[in-house]
Amino acid sequence: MAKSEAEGGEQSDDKKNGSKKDKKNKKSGQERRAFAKPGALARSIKISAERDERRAKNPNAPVDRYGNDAAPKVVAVIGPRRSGKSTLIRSLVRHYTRRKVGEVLGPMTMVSGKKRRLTFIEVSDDLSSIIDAAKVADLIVCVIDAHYGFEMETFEMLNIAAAHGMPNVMGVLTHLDKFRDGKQLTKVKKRLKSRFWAELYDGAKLFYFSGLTTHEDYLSREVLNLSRFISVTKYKVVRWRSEHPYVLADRVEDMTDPSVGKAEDRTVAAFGYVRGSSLRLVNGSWALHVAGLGDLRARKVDVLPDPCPPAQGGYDHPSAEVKKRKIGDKDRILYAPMSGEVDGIMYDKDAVYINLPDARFSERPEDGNKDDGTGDPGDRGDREGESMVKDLQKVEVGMDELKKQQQMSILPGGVPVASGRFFDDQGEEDDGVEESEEEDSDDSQRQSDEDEDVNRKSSVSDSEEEDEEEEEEEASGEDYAETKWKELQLNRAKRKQWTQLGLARYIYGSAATADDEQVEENAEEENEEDEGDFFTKKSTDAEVDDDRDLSRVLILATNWSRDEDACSELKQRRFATGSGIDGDEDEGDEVYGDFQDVETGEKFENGAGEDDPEGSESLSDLDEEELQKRREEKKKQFDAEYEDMKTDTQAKPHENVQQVDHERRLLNEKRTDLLSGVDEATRQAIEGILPGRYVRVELENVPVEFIQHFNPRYPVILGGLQRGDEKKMLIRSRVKRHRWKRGVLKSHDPIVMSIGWRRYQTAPVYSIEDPNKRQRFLKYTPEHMHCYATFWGFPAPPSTGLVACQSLGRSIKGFRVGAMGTVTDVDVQFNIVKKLKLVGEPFVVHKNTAFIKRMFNSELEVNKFVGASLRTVSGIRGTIKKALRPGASDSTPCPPGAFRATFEDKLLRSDLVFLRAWVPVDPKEYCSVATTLLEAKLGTRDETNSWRMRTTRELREAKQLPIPTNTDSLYKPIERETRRFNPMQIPKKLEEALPYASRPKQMKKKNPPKRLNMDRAVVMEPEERKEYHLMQMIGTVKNERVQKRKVAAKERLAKKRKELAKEEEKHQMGETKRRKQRYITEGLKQKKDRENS
Amino acid sequence: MNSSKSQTVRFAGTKNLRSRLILSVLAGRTIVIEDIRVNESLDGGGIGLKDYEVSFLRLVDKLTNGSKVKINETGTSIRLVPGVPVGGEFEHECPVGRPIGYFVEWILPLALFCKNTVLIKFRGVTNSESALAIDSIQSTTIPLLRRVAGINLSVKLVKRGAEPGGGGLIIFTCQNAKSIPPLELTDAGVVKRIRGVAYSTRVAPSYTNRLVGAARGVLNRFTPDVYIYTDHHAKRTGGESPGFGLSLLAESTTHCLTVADASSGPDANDPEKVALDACSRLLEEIDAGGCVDSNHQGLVILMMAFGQEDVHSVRLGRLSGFTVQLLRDLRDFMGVEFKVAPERDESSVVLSCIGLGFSNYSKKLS
Repeated sequence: MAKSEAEGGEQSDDKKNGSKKDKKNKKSGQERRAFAKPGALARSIKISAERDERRAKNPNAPVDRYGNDAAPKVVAVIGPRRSGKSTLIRSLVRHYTRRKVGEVLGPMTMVSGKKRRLTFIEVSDDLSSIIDAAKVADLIVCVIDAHYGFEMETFEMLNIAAAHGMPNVMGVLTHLDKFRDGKQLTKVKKRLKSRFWAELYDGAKLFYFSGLTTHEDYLSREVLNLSRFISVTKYKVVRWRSEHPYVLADRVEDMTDPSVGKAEDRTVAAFGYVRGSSLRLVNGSWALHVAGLGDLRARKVDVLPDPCPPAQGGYDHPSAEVKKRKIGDKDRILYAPMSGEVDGIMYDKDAVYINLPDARFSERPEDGNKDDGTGDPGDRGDREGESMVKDLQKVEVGMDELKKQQQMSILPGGVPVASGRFFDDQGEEDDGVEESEEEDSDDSQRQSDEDEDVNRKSSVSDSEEEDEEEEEEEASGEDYAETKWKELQLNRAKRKQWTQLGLARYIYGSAATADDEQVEENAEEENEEDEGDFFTKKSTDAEVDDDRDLSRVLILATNWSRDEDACSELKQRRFATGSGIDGDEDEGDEVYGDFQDVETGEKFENGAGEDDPEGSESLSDLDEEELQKRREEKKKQFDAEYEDMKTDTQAKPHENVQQVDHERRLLNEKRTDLLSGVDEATRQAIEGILPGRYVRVELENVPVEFIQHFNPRYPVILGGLQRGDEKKMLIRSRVKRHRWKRGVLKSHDPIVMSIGWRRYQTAPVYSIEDPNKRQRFLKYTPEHMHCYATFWGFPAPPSTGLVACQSLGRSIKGFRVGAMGTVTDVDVQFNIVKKLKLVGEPFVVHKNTAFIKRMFNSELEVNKFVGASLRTVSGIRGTIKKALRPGASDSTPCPPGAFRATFEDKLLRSDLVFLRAWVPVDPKEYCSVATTLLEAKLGTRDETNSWRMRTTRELREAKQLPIPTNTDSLYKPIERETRRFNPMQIPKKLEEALPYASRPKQMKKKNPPKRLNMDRAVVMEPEERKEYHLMQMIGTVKNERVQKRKVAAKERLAKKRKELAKEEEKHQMGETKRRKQRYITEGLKQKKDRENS
Repeated sequence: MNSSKSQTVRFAGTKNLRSRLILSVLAGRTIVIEDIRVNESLDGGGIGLKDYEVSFLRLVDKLTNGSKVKINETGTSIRLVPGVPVGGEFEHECPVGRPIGYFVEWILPLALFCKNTVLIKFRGVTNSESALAIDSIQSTTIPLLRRVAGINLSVKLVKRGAEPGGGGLIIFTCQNAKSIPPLELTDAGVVKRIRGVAYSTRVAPSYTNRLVGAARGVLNRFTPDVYIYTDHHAKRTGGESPGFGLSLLAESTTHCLTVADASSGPDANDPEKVALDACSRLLEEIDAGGCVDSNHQGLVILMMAFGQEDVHSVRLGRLSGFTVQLLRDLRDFMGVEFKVAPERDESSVVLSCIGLGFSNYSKKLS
């Protein structure tokens, strides 16, 4: 692919630069290459090869079983309001199908290539729509209004998509024509691109749509570029989707019986392509989850003809007649049943309006065979409706005649009776049966099946008889023993053959209620009396056998110790030592197909001679060339066997991509082998409905609101469930609060989780794993860290991604994605604990024993904690011994719940005793499925959703209630009593023994002598007084001066501060800004001057 | 919208009791089994559940978390609301009415899909006529499962216990599997060698030699490559009662294993007869053809149904009634139908299906 085309999105830039480059190239004259950057190409090849290698080496990578193009790929066009989503889809539809659509409503499927089809859906900024779309989209086209910039919805969408498997994402910048300034435009483009890349990955594709045409479409060149990138996209295999089937409903009809009341539950038919894995019966029913509605069971699922078949192939036309080189206008089908107006055809509630301005329409003759060249009546030119009308018109046989040809069998397995026989007196029975065979498409499927079985049976018995005769003729020449042996074998074979033909029917058929130990016996019985079901068999030995519940067959048909013939036959047939009866060389070879023999020809010659003299003779006769050929064949066979052996022993990572692809191909071949020649009903029972089939799913008991408030703008997704998906359990997941989410998430607060197909509100408990593997309860999610969230919900396999949002509406401002994570574990019980400190007070203290009260309230509580470890504030450790009975202590009364405990040291009466315990925290058994599709005003983001429990905070806000305060939890000023200690008493003897320095001193310290002249009046001499007075005056003068100086300094300081502040402000403003301001003012001044002059 | 009622499956009688209980747990559907031995006259053993059946229920309960079992007063009906298979380590006392093989045989598929590795110490009878002998499980079931599921598991015989006293001890360990890879077992090949174990406990060691001699007398006519090990257990590891038996294994050129065994009853004293029984059974199994013998048909079919969403196929000989019922149960329980393709020239049937794509939900993300 040429580089210039690849970078077509940046067309305008390239054009500018292109001319420059050309000049450069011309100058040098050297750089003429086929590719712009050969190194880049090599690098990209290397990168993709490495990626494939990684995929190959990961044995757990999800696999794509049904091929990339089985079902139309879903392209979700997501963006904020008025960003140009509809316009983009309209332009793409115009590009692919050359048709014009009015309002874009619901999924639109169209042919995009010879084998490819695309389904476009427009997704509004409603959170539930974004979540649902992210689960089914194979490619997300993210429309961004460049003039406005990125909006929160885009980032929310990217995060949600990442949690659900991250499909491919492309960006489209629109509204670029609003930029007048080219420089500004480049700048914005660059900025948005770098932000987009930062969010996804470097090199994420971003298209620039420069403007609109007069038809209100985007420029065709730009749309073409986008479509090219869509067509070369390699779609990712998402694990969840590769393991679950799903249907994106593109048409929804209310099929309720008109007699049913208007307010009662509806029966709804949803139409769409099966995607993901094949849709199969789960636990015996079609279990589906309709996102935004709940778990439903489909009454039936029918495969319909493809309304939008690919130009080549497709399940209606599996082997395309002629390989097309190009797709014509006729093949460019658009299927958008929900869209209001396509090409002038409008579906209203009551009628369909057809406007036919197109010259393409031509009336066809009534007979479908004549109209076009192919002559195929079921040509894809006929739409479903057209062909139906034609079929109706094409009545060749009258209803009464048809009725006569109908048949029924009165008893299961009995010869069917044509209804015509009751009317015709001498009706030929055989004819009747054969006619009915021809018409069996009119009969029910079951009927025809049985019919076929009967016929097959008869034909088999015929051929068997013939075989027998032939065999006998052949056998006449051979010796007696062998003839007898053959007869024996034949009889056995015959017996078994019969059994096995009816085996499938015996196992799965309607008569599958018989309880017999041995299939064979039963089959024979059935043979004898076909209408055996009429009579109930009396309980016999068989029931006793059942009672034993044995898995093995305990019936010995042959006496192996006596019956020589049987033994020799068995030896021939099943033992490596037996030589082939007919001297069959191949069989003999196979027997010795051991690799030692095969590896070298010599060995074979030497060794095999003893057992098979004939063989060795023939071998010696053969020439060298022939021998060589045989050896090669053997080698091939051995290699093949060896390969098989290798694949059998599994569970090794693959070597390379080729091997992975090869194995996948082999498995798919096996699948086709398995299902070839199987009728449609059995096929469906075995493999389910394959992806790519267009189905009609009839849902029962759908709440009436679904139809009442149906809005085609919101995707309706029918997700297939697996076994056990419907049972609520505890889920543990690793989550991280989104860094853009405001505030923290709180344990037990309801939150909406989106896992798998489902969206439901649940109340998680957050926890964190301690180093000793203990799950410790967290009140709130930690900042910038993962934690575990355990909650009630529907099980999903480990490593499934999840997104948590506080609500799906608009009530929360800012970023709506609350947390993201993955499921780690599913169970019915998890152990989350929180720390609990019980506090007690000692009321009697002995040496190491203390009686403690106020920790428990009753004896029973104490008994539960006997042996628990205690600890005082000062760090003395102890254990609980026994509860105290009231009156255990003579001196003090024992309150209930008091106990005796021992400690490693003596306690103080004032010590507090703690008991540290862990109490389990159970997540609340709450799980409410989001029924957003039943809401009246989904689009207007009304917050009246009844399925949702509101958080306490929301309720308080709504009801204007204050936050209740627990006065016990309030902080109070701590009042600490000063402790008074009694003076230390030292025994007299001890005191005497102490050294003097340590001995308490008996005598009090003497006070220092008082100064004598303190209290007396001083009488000064006149001289003295003068001096004193002078000194006082000097002091006063000095004080005055100091005061003045102080005031001056203060003023100076204030002034200085003011100046500094000014300086700072200038600095803050910045030199450039100031300059700019100056230039502006100068400019204005000059302008004024000019005007004046 | 609530669909819990439709999730309940009802059965009558004890037919396929073990496989039904296991299917119930794996499918996560409530099972109700009614009319269990309502008529006393059938085998004279009284009405209602037998002790070993109750024991099996207990074992299922031990292996799962959150299961609810309800048995009515007379024991004629049970209701099992299955929990999550968790596994773990524990001991299980098996009533002497059934050997340990009875329990191991059908606990295996459950153990595969447990959250944790399973280690169970079984005490009871190791060898009896009424289910596979432990030696057969060791020689065939374990390698077969290793091949099918690609996991590690083992059965270790510590003490042997014969009927009626029991006293054997088995250590059963099983790793859990994430999913079952596509299986193809269609080439039965021809028997290339026969191996076996002749065991005796609390009887004269010469019994084993007599067993070997008698078996060789029959089997050597078919192939010279017969080797039978002898395994005699003395007092300490010999359990409570005397007994002996023979477990034979035929290995084909394509590594398919066919097993058959016979053991002495409580008061049998004829090793030659036991050997002959075992040989006859083995030859009967070989005669029936198929890659898997009748003992293991059900196990393989179950594995296939629960396997990855690709084609699994197996060639089986004569289908046992048990297998047929299991096929029906699989359809009713899980919605898996098999394609039954009988071979015209051979006596065997090829059963193929597309697996459910079952993955072990309870396995923890590391």
